[in-house]
Amino acid sequence: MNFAEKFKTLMNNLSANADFLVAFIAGVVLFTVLYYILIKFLFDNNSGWLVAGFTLLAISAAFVFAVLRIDGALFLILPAVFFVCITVLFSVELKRIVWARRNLKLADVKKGDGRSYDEEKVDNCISEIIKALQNMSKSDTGAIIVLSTDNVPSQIIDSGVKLDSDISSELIESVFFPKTPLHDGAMIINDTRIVAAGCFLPLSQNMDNIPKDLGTRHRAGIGITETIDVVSLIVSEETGIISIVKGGKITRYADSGMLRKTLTRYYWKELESARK
Amino acid sequence: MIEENKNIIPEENESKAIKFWKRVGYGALALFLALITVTVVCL
Repeated sequence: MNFAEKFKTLMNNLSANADFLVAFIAGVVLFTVLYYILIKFLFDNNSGWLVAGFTLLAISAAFVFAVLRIDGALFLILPAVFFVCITVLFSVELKRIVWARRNLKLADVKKGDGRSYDEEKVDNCISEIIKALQNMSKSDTGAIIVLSTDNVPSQIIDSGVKLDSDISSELIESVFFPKTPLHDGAMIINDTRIVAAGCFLPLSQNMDNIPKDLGTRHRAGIGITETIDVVSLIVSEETGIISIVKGGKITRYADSGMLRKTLTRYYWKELESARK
Repeated sequence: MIEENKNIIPEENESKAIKFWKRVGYGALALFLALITVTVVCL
């Protein structure tokens, strides 16, 4: 049968056979959902050109299949191969999505989750972290602090020394004081506790986009944010510049206002979302 | 990649209308691709 006859048969089946029609619609809905997720993911990761390429490929393949009368089931190889390619190309971004967890913040405290910190304690934590960063910036003391939402993999925390202590500027500055055992690693903060220090972080894979004057500490701070939904606060040992990193993007020359906004958002994000 | 001294918190700089029409566009494209896929498979 040629393409026209096949298409006519398909239309006849759809109109005459209710089961076939239901199966057809179910297939269209399922593939629509799958393609929607894929298209949104690609556009969110600045890869809309891949969507255009796949669309052209799909249309071209459909014509080839129709003209050459190839078995239609083989057409499924095209989206399958495309999904596999996306998984390989965007493994870091997919890893970040898989490891993302809900924040347990004050919104849950208000619902009676049992946590025992309040606004005053959070403000104190924010002030202590900012004070420590500014003091370390003045003295050109290198530091990297990761603000986690209980989503840092255990192997990263286990690579350092667990502290489980309250947040204080004195402790933070002591940890990063040069030549101390824990100064050459990252500090992990989760809510109002310092979880660990001296932790080793994965380096950024974006070799081309990071300037050469940023060292391993910055690459580590960028790398962890590419993999997990965390915020890194970095103090440069060479220049004392404070940087904020989120989602693989670094903002340098952060002042106290930006730090306070970042930390406030880190502690209160879920509360704001719960209020909306 | 690097933003010098700018607010890194991704503010909502797209209007809700633009976001809505973007989603409609994604959905329409997804539906088009799904129709092609299922039709070719069923032929």
